[in-house]
Amino acid sequence: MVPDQEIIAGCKSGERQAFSLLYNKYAPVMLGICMRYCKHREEAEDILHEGFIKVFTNIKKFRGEGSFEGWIKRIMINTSLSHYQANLKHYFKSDIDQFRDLPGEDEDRGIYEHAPPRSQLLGLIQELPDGYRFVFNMYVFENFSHKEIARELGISVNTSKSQLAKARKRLQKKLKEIYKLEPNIRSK
Amino acid sequence: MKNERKHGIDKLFFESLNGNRIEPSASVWASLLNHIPSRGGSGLYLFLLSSLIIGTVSLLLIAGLRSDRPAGMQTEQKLVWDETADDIHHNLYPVIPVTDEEASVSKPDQVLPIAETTSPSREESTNLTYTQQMPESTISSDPYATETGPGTAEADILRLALDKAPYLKIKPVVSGHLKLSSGHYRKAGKPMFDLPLKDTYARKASMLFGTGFSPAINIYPDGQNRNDYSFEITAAWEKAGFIAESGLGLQYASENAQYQINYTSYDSVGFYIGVISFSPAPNNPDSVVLQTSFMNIYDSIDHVVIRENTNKYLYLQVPIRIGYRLIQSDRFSIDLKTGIIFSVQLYRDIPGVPYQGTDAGQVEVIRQYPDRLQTNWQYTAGIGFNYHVSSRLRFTLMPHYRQYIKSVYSPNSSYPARSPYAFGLRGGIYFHF
Repeated sequence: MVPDQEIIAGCKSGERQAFSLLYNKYAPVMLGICMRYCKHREEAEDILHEGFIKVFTNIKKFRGEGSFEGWIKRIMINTSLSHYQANLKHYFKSDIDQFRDLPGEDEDRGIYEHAPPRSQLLGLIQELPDGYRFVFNMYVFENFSHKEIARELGISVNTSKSQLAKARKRLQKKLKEIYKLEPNIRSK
Repeated sequence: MKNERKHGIDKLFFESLNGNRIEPSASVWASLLNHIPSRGGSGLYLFLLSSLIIGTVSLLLIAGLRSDRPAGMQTEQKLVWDETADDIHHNLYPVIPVTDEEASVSKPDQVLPIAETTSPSREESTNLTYTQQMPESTISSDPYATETGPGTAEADILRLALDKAPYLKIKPVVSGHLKLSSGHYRKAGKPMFDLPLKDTYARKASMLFGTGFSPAINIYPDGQNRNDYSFEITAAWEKAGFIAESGLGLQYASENAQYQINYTSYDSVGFYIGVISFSPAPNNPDSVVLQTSFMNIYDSIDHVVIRENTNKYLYLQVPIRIGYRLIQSDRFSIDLKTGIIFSVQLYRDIPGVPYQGTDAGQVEVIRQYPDRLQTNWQYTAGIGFNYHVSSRLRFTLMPHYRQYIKSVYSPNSSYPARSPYAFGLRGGIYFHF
């Protein structure tokens, strides 16, 4: 595996091979991220494409402070955000309900013990409404705080909490449905 | 980490999907290949190249015109002599000596006799011709000997100019100061290009108004080239070779707009042999005879087609240019101009591609071109060739280069930023009021 420093140096000097190495190394991981933020694979690939163009054109600005993978990941998330920005604004404006927290964790502990397949879980995230999906992803996978999510999405902290609670609730409900249909998952 | 993060459902999703790798389809990399930045950037490269070409052409033109003047002829003495002229003295200019005593005031009666100092009569000219064959010792009497003495480069050049003067139809007028053997400077004060025309049409300082039309070809990074057309009305101010120009213009631009149309249609996907009826076999009542037919199987089939159309845009433009007159003769001048053009979109015509397939269902039209911004800035540079028809009217032709300072497209669109550049030819007229 070629180290990041060599790939970055090659890209900065315009070597085509370095761009290819960069893409091959990070595209699968980044598509995994984009898939979580999008509803369809086609959309995710569009965002991946746009995100990599930004990576290629801005790689000269990368100073090596912090993780290179983190830098690319941030570009992909920002690209996803800007892709959905118009829809999100509309969505959050119409969804200002105060959040309600989920029932106690012990209540449904059983459903978290055995995971359905990855593709099924990914499908559940993709089925979430845009607002729920973004807040859930940013909170759970990117470790953003509600304050940071609120700033990134231009919403209030309470709206962010509300979206997260609703996302969890919906996922919980869907998971229960899956377990009812496929009881063997629970008994794994 | 907050307690909320320990929620079971968060853990379930995080542990299952974090670091999930999904291989993208090959088409993503194929389309990315066109966006790998080249070394140095093509836009910058072309800009530098065009600047170099314009600069080189300008220098060559300047050098070509100035080559009429012998190098090193640093004198203001006006060498005016035409062999065919009857009255030589009409062509002569008075020469005012600047001695220590006369430095402050020059009086007409103190002007040195021209014939003795600067004006070569026919006889003197003949003598000068002979001096080329004289020994150096005799050259000291040469009235044109410079401070550095006879036989030096300056004196030789001066003599050469005088010798060649009979063959010159254009009066060789040189400017500067020549320190004569007497230690005095002589002044003449005439422009370098003193063409024997009736009038000087090029004005030294003026306000003028002009109009121009400019077709240009826009070159996009992805190879899509389209023409645009601009019409401008400008006001310009010129003084001491410097030019400032602004005005209003309209630009018509167009570009290819590509759409992907996804639709489903109910098509045959195969067949099977279906039993229409059956009857007992006449010869064998225990068996049946089946009557069959080929039955088509229909299903919704996804289709993708790519259609293209032309989007049209109209911009209001405000050009702001500054320039410098590189070359000025009586009827012809060359300007170098550079500046910016600010554009505001006034009108857009986006026809789209309505798809009405006869048996199509669930038609989805996906636009594959980015939104244009309402405003944009362009850098422009050009070299203007002017022909002065009269003191009030001039024609101009200006090959020019334009480059969008930022992308002409919206940064929010999911398409790459593109900054097309353009080469054009602006033709127009300027009028002095």
